[in-house]
Amino acid sequence: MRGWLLGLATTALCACPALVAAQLPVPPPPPMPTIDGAPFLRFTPSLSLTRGDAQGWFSFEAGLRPPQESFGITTRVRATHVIGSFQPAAQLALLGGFERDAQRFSFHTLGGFGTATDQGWNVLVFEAGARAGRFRIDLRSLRSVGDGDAFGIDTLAVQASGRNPGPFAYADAELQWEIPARPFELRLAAGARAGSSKTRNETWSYMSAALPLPFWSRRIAAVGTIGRRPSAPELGLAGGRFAGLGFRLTLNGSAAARRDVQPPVAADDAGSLELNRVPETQQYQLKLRVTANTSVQVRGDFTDWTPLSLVRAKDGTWSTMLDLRPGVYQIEMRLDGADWAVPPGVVLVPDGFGGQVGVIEVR
Amino acid sequence: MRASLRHALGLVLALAGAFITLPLAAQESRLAVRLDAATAAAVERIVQDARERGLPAEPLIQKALQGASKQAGGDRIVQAVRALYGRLETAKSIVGAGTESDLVSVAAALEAGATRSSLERLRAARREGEPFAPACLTLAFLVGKGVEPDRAADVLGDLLVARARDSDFMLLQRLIDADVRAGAPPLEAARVRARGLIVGPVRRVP
Repeated sequence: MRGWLLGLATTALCACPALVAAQLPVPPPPPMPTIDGAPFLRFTPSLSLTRGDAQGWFSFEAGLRPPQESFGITTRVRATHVIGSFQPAAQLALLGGFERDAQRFSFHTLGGFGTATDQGWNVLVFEAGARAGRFRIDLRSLRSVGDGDAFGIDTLAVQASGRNPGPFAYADAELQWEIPARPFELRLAAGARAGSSKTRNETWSYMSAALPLPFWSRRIAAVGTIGRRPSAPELGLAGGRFAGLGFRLTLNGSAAARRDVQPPVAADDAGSLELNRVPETQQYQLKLRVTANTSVQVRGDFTDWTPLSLVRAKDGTWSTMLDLRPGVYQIEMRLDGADWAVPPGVVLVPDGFGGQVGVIEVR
Repeated sequence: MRASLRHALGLVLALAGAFITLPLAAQESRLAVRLDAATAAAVERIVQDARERGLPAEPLIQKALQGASKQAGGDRIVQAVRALYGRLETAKSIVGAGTESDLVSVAAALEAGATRSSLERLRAARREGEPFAPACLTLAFLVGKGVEPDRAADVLGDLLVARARDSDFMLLQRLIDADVRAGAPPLEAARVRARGLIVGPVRRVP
């Protein structure tokens, strides 16, 4: 019952464009190149052992999602094919909804239609999920519709196997905790199911460890999973203890999946250069945050390429005042009398003399 | 009376001439002090030629002084100044009537490895009258990171179309730099970060 309340709530959200539109940012005048969705693809072949039965899984998900850090419409095609159970089972689901995917927070709500071609069940699927930091919660509601004879395939054999419960409906809630354990992506998950009269209530938990492989920008990961999983009546699969091993290929995945490739900006341990204008003057304070013991010098267009010494402040930074007019300048620095080098955090260009020089713009 | 008037007029003209030529003389003295006579003369000829063609002279003088500070040989200095002259000429043909900053930044981008076509793409995305230097320097930054110039220009062109501010380009560089140091591919980092800026702070409400 609770599951269907969730399903209804999700449906209401999907069916209420005014509510969603109210959350969309106001678009600027012409053209916004990022209103297009970003394509993504996730392919996961894996081998799973359940009660001595070996099953091969091919899971494929692809679609369009809003660009990172934005909110918008997402569409997905999800396909799962299982080999090795009492008969092959395949499920195809078309989903659509809304999604916001950011580094620290994301949420999505999806609704759609699926069909388990070999089992004969058509299903309505509603999903919602949210991630905050290292925790994620996923809610999923699934209900069979029709007489379970999709595409005219005879389902008697399925029902005779005893694994098909007949018409079913259930709602799942799963909580995941991402454990920091680089280079692994460790996840602990626990979930519970509220089933209808034909589907029993279940609980499960599992642990998965993914190891991004050091090639192709770490888009391929080896994934191992162990624990207890729920049944999948739409696929005619029983639940129970299992262990699995597989690979995951992700192209343009979620922000969480991209964190290894593009982490958030960290503190700049290479130092930094700041140029701050003194209000109502043409003077600028040049401040360098670098590691030096005795001296820091700069030279560039603004000194006719003669060295200028900086003064150390109490906070450990080095600074000097410069009279500058707006323009583009080249700059070098020297720490403790060592070789001239390019200050951190500035654009590098060849200097025409076999080395490199930094370029800064004064506005 | 007439002779004294002529005398006064001559004095005024002489003073005016002195004031007009004073900056030029000062620049020439900078070269003369730091370079050998032959090199200084060769650089001065290039500088004079640049002035006549409406190109900024100061960057050429600074290039010579930079060479002197690096104790480069005279031939190398003249070669570097002449190369910069060529880039400034190309920059002018790309930018048209731009500011000195625009020309210098385009020249810097060319020096970094940006192609003419990538800079023309960027210029096409720029709104008339808006500064060009931040986008050009960011292009130089990306090309320096190994991003193919035309692809970098596409990313930055999107930012210009979305009316990115100077500070947005500076922020973009910092973000990409951090991403790349953490192991991200530069182009991918540029695309993701630019997208984030476009849908974030860059987005302007009319």
